[in-house]
Amino acid sequence: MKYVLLIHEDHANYKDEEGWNEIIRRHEAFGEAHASAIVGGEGLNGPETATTLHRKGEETMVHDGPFAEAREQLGGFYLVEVASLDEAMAIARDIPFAGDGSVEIRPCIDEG
Amino acid sequence: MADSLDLAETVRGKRLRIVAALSAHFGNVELAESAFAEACVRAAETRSPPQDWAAWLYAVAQRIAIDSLRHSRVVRAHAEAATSFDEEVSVSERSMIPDRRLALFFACCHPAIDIASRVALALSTICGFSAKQISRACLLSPAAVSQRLVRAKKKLAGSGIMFEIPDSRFFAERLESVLCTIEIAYSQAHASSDPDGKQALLGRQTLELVDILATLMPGNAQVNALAAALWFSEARRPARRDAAGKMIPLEDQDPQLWNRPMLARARDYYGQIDTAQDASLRTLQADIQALWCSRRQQSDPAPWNRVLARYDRMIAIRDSAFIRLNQVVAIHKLQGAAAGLREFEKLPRAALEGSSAYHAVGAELLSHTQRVPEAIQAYDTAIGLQEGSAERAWLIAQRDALTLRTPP
Repeated sequence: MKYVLLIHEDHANYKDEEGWNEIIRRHEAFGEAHASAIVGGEGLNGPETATTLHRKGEETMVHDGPFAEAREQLGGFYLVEVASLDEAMAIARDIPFAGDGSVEIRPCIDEG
Repeated sequence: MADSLDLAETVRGKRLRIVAALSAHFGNVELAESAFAEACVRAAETRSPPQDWAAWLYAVAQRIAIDSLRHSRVVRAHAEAATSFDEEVSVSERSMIPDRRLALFFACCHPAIDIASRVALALSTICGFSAKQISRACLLSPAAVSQRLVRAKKKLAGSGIMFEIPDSRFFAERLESVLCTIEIAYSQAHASSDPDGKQALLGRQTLELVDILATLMPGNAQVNALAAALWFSEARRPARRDAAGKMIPLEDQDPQLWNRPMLARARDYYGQIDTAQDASLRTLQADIQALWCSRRQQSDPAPWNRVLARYDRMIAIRDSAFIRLNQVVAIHKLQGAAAGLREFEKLPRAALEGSSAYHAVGAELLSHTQRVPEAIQAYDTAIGLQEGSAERAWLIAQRDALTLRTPP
């Protein structure tokens, strides 16, 4: 089963270069440890770079900013392929964080 | 006539087991339940009753489930996986219905499912209680319980929760989740001493759940310890309040009023654990319950000495504010109020101040150390936090007795 692990955290945690390099190094270690399960993933630029399109009926509105204004924002994701939710949760537990944050574990639709 | 009786009997007796087997096979409780219901309809209509209704229902429900999966594009993969055995379904050969109830139990109590839904789900799929029966034992309406069950079943079906007994990597954590689900259900049941209200009903339902778990996991010390503690505790319900509806503290209860068959059941479970060899929070808790329930009559002394020794060992395993609170009570009884109060003041207030018991213990210690105005204040706080009517009545009586002692 495939799962997306959506990483939500405060982008401000990575303001300084040292913190940034540190988290990159830890993500690399995480990637190596779970290489057999990880299918893909990316880190995202900050929410200040986000553009959101709102669709209402026939109309589309462009919004300068992320989908929802919140302290914790989507900061990156992994796509993993594992046998069960237990395994997805075990991998999600190992995702590195600089401070507080959350990982939303979402199963992908199984197209067979 | 005889056949329809047979059918009704089979449905009553085998439904849970058949639905559990189907649920585990398809990884989908909702599908299993609706396929079984449809199979029952077909059974009532069939003109050639089979030798073995259970095997017939199981095989027919399997086919119905596979057909319905074929119609659903999203879960096509499961249907393909299941096809192989569809073709070889032969009713006469399928009289063995695998017992998958433990796998279902683990799935329903998965930590990814909301705790309140876990309790409802387990009561529904493992014990077979209806939404209406479950709602009578909690604060929700039948409709709210049904809604919760539907949502939880969708999560079970779509999130990759395995309907299997977890392997060694996840076993301990998942068993903990099963045991916690039962403990939380029971702690709600125990919160009130009402002999025949919602809580008493939830208590009985929870005991049924723990009995099934113990049957499915014979020899597991954690499970036996939990079952023993729950049965001991529930056996005391008839002695927990007086005729006026006021709580009677454990040490003042009349052991003659305890439920003897329940105590016997508790001792059966307790006899299967060895607390010396397998000391854990749960086995020590069962030990404490067994100590209290070893009293035969009101004049027998309370076992505070040995109870305190168990609390000490529990704290050595895991330092918890609530265990420390219990330890303080034992210290008070054994070494006096001054010693108790010294220990009470070391308790982590922040972790306990939302609990009525914390303030009640403090009030009693203060009242026995001549600090009556503070004691009255603490009783007031405890009363404000207490939801059980019998417990409130007792706290109010304690406070009022102090108020009488102090001139305004």
